[in-house]
Amino acid sequence: MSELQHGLIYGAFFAYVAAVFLYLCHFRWRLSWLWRSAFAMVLLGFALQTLCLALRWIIAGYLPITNLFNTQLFFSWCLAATYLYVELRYRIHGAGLFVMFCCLLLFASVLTRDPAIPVLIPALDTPLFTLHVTTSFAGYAFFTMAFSMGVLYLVQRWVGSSLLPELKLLRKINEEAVFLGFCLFTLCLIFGGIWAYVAWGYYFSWNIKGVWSSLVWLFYGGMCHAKFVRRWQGTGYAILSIAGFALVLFTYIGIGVLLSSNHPLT
Amino acid sequence: MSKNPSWVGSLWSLLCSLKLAIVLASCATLIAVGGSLLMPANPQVFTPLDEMILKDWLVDIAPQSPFLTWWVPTAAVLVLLLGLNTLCCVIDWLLHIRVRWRKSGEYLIHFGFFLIVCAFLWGNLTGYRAGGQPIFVGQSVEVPPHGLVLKLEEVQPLEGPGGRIMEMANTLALYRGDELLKRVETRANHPLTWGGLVVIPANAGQVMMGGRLRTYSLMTVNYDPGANLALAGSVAMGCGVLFAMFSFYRKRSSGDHPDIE
Repeated sequence: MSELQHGLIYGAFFAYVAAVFLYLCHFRWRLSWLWRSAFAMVLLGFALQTLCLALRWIIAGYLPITNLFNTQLFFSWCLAATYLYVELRYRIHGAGLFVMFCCLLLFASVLTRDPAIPVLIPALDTPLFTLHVTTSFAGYAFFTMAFSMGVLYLVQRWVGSSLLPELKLLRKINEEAVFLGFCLFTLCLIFGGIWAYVAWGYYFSWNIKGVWSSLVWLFYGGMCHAKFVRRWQGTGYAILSIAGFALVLFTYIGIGVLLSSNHPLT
Repeated sequence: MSKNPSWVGSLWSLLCSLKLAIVLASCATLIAVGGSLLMPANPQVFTPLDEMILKDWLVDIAPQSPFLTWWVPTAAVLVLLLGLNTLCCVIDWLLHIRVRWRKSGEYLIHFGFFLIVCAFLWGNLTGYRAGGQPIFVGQSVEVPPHGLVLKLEEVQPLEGPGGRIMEMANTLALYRGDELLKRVETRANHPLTWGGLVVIPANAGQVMMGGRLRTYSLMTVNYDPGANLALAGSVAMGCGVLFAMFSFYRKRSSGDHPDIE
C-alpha cells in the first residue's frame, strides 16, 4: 500500500511539473495544444493526488491533515483544485501559473518528508477538526489565487502584456478569490471556535495563532468592503491581495513552524 | 430646528459608513499585527490571557507591563467600535430592506459578528476561568456563580488500539441542592456544559491519602455567560456565508455586478 501511495504522490508531482513546463512553453509559443496538454496534466495530477488522499483517508480512518507532511499535501491539493476552478470558470490558461508554482513548491517539500500516517490523538478525534482544517486550507488556497491575480494585475498594468488576461478579468477573479476565501475562512473560524470551546472551555484563544487567524479574517473582511471604494479598486486591491498573502503565509508557515503555538505543524 | 435632522443624518451616515469599517478593521489589524509579535518573547505577560477573563488580565497583569500590553485594549476598543459600526449597517439595511434584500447574506454575517463581539464583551466582563482544580473521586465542590455543586463520580481509563491508554473518562454530575441537573461522561471534546458553565477534566492522577490510593482529576471550570450568544452569532454568520455565496453566484450568472466596469 505504501508503494502505491508513493507512486501516486510521485505521479502527481511529475504531472504538475509537466503542466508548469507546458504552460511556460505556451507563454512562449502561444499554441492551443500546449495549454490544452498543460491543463490535461493538471487534471491528471489532481486525479492522482485525490486518489492518494482518499487512500490515506481510508487507511487512517480519518482525513490525515495532522502534521506538516499531511497539511502540505492537502494544501497543495486545495491549490490545484482552486486552479482548476478558476481555469474551468474563466479559461485564463497559464495566468494562474503562480498557484501551480506554489503547489509544486509544497509538493517538492512533501517528497522529502516521512509519509507515515500518525495515530490520531483523542483531542483531534472530532468532525470539527476535519471541518476546521479543510475550510482553512480551502480559504488559504483562494487567498493564494488572489495574490497571484494581484501580482498579474500589477504586471499587466505596468507592462501591458498581450500574454496576460485583461485587467478587468484579473480584477474580477481577484475579487472573487478574496470573497470565496473570506467565506471559507469564516467557516473555518466558526468551526475552530466551537471546537476550542468544547476542547479548552473558551472559543477565542489569545495564543498567537488565534490572534493572527483573527487578523487574517479581519484583513480580508476589510478587503471585501474595500472593493466598493473607488480609490481601492484595481491597483489598490491588487496591493492589498499581496499584503494579505503575507499575513496568510506567516499565519500558516511562520507561526506553525517557527513559533510555539497551539497549532504545531512539526 | 432644521439643522438637527442633517446633523443626526450625518452622524448616522458616519456610523453606517463602509469607509469607517475599513479604517477600523485596518487600524485594529495593524495594531494587533505589531503588538502580537511581542507575545512569543513575553509568555509571562500573555499566557495568562487564556487562563483568565480579559477584564481580570487588564486589571491584574497588563498594568505591570504597560509598554507591552497597551495594544490589547486599543485593538479591543477598535473591534468594539467595528461591532457598533456593523450594527448600524444592519439597522440601516433593515430600514431599506425592500431594495437591499439581495444583500441578506452579507448582513447576516454583519449581525453575527456583532453578536459575537457582544458575547465576547459579556463573557470577558462577567465570566471567570479556573484551571487546574483537583477534585477527588467522590468529592463535591461548589461552583459559582449559581451555587451549583460539581461531583466527580468516577474516573476510567479509555484504551486505544493495542491496549494503550489514550485518555481518561471522567463521570461528572452537576447538582443544584439535591436536584441532579446533568450527568456526563467527559473526555476529550466532550465537556460538561450547562448554562454558560463548561467543565473540562485536564489531567488525572493518584496520591496516597490516609493509607490508601485516591484518584483525582484536575478540572478546568470556566463560566462564560455569553457562550450561547456567541453560538447564535456563529450560526448567523455561517448562514450568512452560505447565503452570500449562493447570492454571489446568482448575481454573477445574471451579470448583476455593477461595480465591475
